[in-house]
Amino acid sequence: MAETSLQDAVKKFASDLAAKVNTFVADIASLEVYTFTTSPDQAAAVFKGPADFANLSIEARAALRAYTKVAFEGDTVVWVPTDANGEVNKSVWDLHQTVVKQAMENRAQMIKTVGDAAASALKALGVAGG
Amino acid sequence: MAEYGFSVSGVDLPGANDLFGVWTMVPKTTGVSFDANAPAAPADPTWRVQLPESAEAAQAILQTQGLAIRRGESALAQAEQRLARLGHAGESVSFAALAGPEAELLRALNTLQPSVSFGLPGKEAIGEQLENLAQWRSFLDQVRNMVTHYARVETEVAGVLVGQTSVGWTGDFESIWTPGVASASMRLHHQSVHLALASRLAFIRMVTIVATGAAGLALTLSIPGGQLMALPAVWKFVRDVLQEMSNIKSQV
Repeated sequence: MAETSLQDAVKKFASDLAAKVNTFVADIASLEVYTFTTSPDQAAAVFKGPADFANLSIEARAALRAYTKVAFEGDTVVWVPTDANGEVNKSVWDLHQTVVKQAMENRAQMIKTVGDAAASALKALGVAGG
Repeated sequence: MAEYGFSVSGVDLPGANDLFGVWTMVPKTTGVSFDANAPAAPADPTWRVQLPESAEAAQAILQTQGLAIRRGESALAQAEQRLARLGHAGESVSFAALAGPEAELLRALNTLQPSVSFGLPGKEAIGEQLENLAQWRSFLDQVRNMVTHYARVETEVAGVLVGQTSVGWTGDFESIWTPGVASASMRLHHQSVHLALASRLAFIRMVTIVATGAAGLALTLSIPGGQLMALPAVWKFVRDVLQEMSNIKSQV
């Protein structure tokens, strides 16, 4: 009984992670980094509510200030933030660049760690004949 | 040291109320809100960092917590090495020579062997195995949840939210900032995100350490049901090593 329930738990874990690994190519086809700002009076609603970034700009609760998309084949799309006079807003831009760097580092670590975890769970099932 | 807080909601580390001595687990609220306008609680695991106004004090706190997470990572590496040593020693391992988490682990694994010469496992041993089993299953659910959901990180400085970042499993970042936020506060949020992501990675890595360790032990100890049955005991071993390392740190 305990073995069956344990096997089910490991199977579900392995299959969910394997599903993630299956979408691996699509998921890593590009890396996207969005930087939004929000006004202080909207901050409480934006920060406390569920993270629904797709609708933030539409609802005017937050403004997209910078965006970077790095495609797997090397194509890069960058939106640079500017002030009212058309000058690049350096503080937002520096901030955004730091996040892009952090995102790229995190991606490499996360993919390796999740891959290792999925492989070890699948191995556990294989040994158990699951 | 100034007041601060590091908490994580939407995640439970079974059998513990903190993660690496850094993150306090916030239990899921089961209450119902009667305020229709109240924002829904985030479904994603949320890492919340509260820091004091002084940038120097906040930096010092983040550095201390970063050190604690690195210590946790070292403890995980040590657990991995100790499991590998046990796996290599196999049946030649001497109970008498072992103490602490190793002795407990081998005792638990021996109760899984039909040829065990120590008699049938007692009620207490069975109860402990069932508890470990429940905790391991719950832990797997937590890790699955972390991979399938965004990690949401919020940083508060002197009670004011300065930044929020959501990170997907492949590293897509979405950040929201309050306009005019000081660059010092931005740096603090970056560091908070770094700590949360390092913790998430360590959490996921525990699965690999437990599963790989169980494989080595199951093979050398010839446990029926293989490593699957050994997983809960090995899971407890890893947690015991983390606790042991934490105790050593607090005595220094």
